[in-house]
Amino acid sequence: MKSEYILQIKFDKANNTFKPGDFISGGVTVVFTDPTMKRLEIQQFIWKSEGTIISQNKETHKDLERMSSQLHPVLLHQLDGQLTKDKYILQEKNTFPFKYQLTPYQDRKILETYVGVYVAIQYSIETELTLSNGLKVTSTIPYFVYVPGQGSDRIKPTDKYPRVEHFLITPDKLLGNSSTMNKSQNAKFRINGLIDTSICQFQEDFHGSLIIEECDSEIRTIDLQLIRVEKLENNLGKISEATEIQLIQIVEGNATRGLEIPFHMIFPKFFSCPNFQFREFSVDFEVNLVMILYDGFKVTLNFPINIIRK
Amino acid sequence: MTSQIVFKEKDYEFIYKTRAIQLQQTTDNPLRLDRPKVTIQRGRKANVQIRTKGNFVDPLSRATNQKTQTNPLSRPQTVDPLARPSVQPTQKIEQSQTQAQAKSVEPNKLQQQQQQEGKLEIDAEEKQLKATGEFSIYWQEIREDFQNIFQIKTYDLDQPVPNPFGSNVQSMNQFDGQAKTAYSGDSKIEYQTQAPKQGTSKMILQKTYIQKVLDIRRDLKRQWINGDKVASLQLAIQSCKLLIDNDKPLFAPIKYVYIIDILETFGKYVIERLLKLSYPQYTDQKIAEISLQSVVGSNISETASEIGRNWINKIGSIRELLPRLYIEATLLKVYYFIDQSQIKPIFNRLIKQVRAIGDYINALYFALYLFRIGAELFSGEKDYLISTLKDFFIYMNQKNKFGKLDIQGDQYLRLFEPYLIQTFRQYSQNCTEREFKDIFEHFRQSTQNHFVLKKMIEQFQAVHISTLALELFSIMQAYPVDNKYQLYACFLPKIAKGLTNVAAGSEICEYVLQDILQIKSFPLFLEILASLIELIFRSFQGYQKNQFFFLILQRFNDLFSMVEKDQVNTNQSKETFIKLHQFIIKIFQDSQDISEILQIDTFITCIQFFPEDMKKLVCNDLLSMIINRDQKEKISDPMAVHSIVKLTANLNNKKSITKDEQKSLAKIINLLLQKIDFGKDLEQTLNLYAEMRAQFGNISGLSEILIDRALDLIFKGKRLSKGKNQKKIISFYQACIAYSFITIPTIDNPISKLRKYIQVAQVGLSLNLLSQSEAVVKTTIETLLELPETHNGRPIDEVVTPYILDLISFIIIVPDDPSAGYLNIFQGLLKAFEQLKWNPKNGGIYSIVIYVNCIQYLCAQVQERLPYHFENVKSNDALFNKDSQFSLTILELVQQLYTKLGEQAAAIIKLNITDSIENGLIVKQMLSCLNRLLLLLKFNKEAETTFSIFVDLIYKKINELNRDRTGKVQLTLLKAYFLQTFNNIEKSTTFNFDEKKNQMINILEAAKN
Repeated sequence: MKSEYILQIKFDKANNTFKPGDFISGGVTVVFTDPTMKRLEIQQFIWKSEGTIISQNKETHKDLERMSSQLHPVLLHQLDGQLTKDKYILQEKNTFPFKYQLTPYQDRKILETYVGVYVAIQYSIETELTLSNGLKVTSTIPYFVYVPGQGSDRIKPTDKYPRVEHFLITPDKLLGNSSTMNKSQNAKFRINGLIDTSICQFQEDFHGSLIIEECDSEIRTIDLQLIRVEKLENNLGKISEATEIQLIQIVEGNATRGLEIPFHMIFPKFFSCPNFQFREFSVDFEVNLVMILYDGFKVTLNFPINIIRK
Repeated sequence: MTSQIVFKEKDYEFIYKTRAIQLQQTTDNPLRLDRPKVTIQRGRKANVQIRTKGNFVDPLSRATNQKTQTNPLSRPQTVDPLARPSVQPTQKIEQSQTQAQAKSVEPNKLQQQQQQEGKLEIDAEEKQLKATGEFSIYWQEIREDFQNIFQIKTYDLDQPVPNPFGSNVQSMNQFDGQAKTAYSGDSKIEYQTQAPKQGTSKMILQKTYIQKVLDIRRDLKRQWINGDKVASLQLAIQSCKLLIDNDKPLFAPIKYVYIIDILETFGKYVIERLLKLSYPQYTDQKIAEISLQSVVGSNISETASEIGRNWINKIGSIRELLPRLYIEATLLKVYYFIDQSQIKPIFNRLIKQVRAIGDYINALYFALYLFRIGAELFSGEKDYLISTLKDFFIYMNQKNKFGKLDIQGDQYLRLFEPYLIQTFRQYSQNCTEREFKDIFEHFRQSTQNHFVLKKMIEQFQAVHISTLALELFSIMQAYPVDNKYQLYACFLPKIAKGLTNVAAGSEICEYVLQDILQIKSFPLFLEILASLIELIFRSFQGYQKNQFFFLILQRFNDLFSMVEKDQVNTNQSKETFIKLHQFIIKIFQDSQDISEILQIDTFITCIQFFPEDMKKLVCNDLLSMIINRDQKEKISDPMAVHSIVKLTANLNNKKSITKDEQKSLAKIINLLLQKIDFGKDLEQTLNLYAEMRAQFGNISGLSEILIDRALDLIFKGKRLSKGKNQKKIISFYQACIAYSFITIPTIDNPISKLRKYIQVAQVGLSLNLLSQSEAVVKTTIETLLELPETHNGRPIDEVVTPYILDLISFIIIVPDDPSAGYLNIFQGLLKAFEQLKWNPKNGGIYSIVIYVNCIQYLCAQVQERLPYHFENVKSNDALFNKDSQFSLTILELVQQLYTKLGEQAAAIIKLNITDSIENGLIVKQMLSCLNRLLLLLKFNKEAETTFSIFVDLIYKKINELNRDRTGKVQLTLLKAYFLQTFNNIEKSTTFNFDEKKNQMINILEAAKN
């Protein structure tokens, strides 16, 4: 059946992004597709705001599939309300405001919007218009939530911000199979580096610097690989899935030895978030520093990082 | 001998009075009209030594016989090597340039055409870009640098480059949401057996490449207008990726320009859009006027800042470093819509990230792009320039990496020229002395590359360069010569402008000079020289300065003679000569004492090397500069004068010189001669005149000037000698007279010639140079015979009469050679008159005038004392006084002449002259003759026949005059004179012409009415 009415939801805030405790406000407009129609009889007109953490793509992972019987979406936030008490809507007055506070559902907590491979945290508002004939017209729009302070709980109390990390890459400090190690005995390199902080603020970027003190062969590229580790754990099992969510080149070509080279990487808005652990779900991040040389060596250096939202 | 005539004795005063004025004008030096006396007062003291060689030889004869070989001042003639025409001058330049860039393929016509088409397309694009004003001034400036340095427009774009475009354009490597497994956990090392493949993609032509880049730009515009911002971004990223590969380093700057064009366009679009969102009510024009700095929190719409953030997020995830950095830099301005305070830190980070780019061309070109952003956003900041420069110096030290590619070091370094220019240019803006010292210190600590130094000097202002002139100079000294020369060329003009420390200047000059003398390339030599000159003028004075010029010019000539061996094409040499011209002019302008320069022997030689047309120009300029100098400044040095003569000689091309040129040349020489003053060395001056004559014998009008000057010299000498050293001075006089005498034949104009002869004779006699004077007079008489029938359209007798009269009055005092008989000269003159080409039309009325004057001469001769004398000159009165034979001869001559007068008058009567004015003149002349004769002579009866012929003639003419109106007017004018004359006749003679007289009076009376 041809829908004669369209619901348009618009937030007052342009970026549709809110933090816990914010009042989310906006308006719903009922657009009449038939301009001659002046008045619409309705039964009710309501909105529902919901936030959930879910596991997804279960079918692609065997372990996950096995565990999934006990993995249910968890509501993080739920609110609803009426947009109008009237039983009709007039053409000339067809926009209805809504306003509510972003609060956690029961004892749970608001987590940041996040979309991963197996885990997703999503928030949306749905409006539902029930016509006099019982037909329902709905419209859903997601909104984004950021949670200041999220991730801080994943940091050891002894750690301080910034947590500076020095690193030194030499062949003997790396793991590798025996054949590689034999070959790599000839490879001489010594790369000194510094990560400004391995506790990263989400809004700020991941940055540091490195000095190629010595490297016999030509460097082809040095990349930063942002790895996200999604973990699900319940009595049925435990999976840990590492995904490259961003690969950023930080050195292009055979950079000059002995110079301090800064590197810098932003955290992608949707594929990363502050670290969190909630019930059976947790998301953590690592950074791989990958150096590829022209003669075939690939050196990978791994740093677990904490992302927090201040 | 029956005497018709008796001499009167009282006419002395009359002669004197009538002659005195003319005498003054003729015997005195004509150049000094203010000189009142014929004779020169000689003083008692003469401490002047006039150097005169014992036997004066006419300079002209020497010059003609032995030519210039024995002339001590002459130099061997050198052939101008640069004047040789060369066949393909322009092509050569282009070729050599393109060859330097890449191996040039022998272009056949088709290829050329294609290339032409390719160029045209790009050119059209180029024009469009300029017309739309799409680029900010910051980029435009850099862009022009690139175009100038790498000659992008004329670049041979037919070279192959690897094709990065492939069949499909690679898409942006952004995370597409699909999971990719990754390693996590420990650090490790792996070995990939398959080393990454080097792209072996197909080669395409450079112009195709550029065409593709232009296509991307067009695409980007289209996509943007269509609203597909992401596609636009992708295209921008894609174009940046093209920068990564630098297999052909020489192509890098070319593609860079076109790719940055894309980024400029892209950046502009993004910011425009954000502005529009922030100021929705503004028109496009108004938006264009908004400065980003004025965009502050309150007026940024939330949407704009959100869109801005989205941009930042998008570009932050670009995988490749280079495109990411470029786009970040391009969109740095977006932060004005988000958080202004972040701009500076991000910019600083980007500057540091330059180091992350391994390829130096890419790294520094990116830095260059950042500078352009920096110039726009933080004008005045200089730290980042310094830090990048420091890195650059480090890069230069990487011997394995820097310029290891298959191009040579210098050429590789040249790729960084735009970077260096921009660095120094940006740094030099509002640069303090401290800042300059700072950057210099960094340079000093580096490898002190000459190319970098050159760019530095070029970009900084003279003031700054000058403050560290010596330090900079000492660095230059360490370079190999070739580099040093290049540096001099830019260094010297700067310090010449700004240097205040004279001592430093002179030190530098001396060092530079030593180097400059070893330069083998001529244009280079000139280039450096042009700037050195200025410095020399500032640093030295007098002798030292000239010493410099001498050395320089000497080197000049050496180089010139070497150039011959090299194949220098004419175009290039022309420029060279223009520079040289300027250089010489500059020397002249700046010099305080011009003769110092002229003394430099080599100076003139070097002018000889100019091609003919240029040479003239140069000489003309120089001479007019000499002439226009201070009036009081005289040139007295012989060498300098010789130089001037040489210069002037260059203007005189004997084969092709035109009349106008001759005129102007004569004018110039005259002015020059006024400028030259040898002081007391008159001999020298005369030598100069001789040389002048040798050089400019063909210039009409000049000879007269020279003669006048030579005669002037005599009087100068007379004044200087003050009566001492008679022998020497006399031989000098002789020389002057001889010079003049010999010079006269070179005068074209016969009348002028005649005049000069008379003048010389007069001067000669005044000096008591009897034989010379006599010879000149004789030549004068001979000259009369050679006169043509007409002169300037007038009959010759009319023209020459005044001169003859002058001559006659002059020979009064010319003593006759007793051995040659009485009045030898005069008799010769008489014979000459017979052969003179009298005008037959007016019946020789002028001959009557002359004969009357001859009688007057003779009358003077018989007097006891001649009407006037030259001091110390014994005239005929002293020689032949009371010599009865002499008197008799004269009487005879007078009688002959008297008879001749009659014959002439009779001849005129026979002629049928109808012209009233002519007739009036005849009457007037006749009346005057009658008066003269009456004054001079007493007539007895026998003389009446001649007299009556005169009266007949007058009678006839008066009758003829009465016929028409003009004649009558003439008659009224003549009437008074007529009556007076006839009164005189009645008083002095017994002749009776009453009948005719009365008739004539009647006619005259009638004519009055």
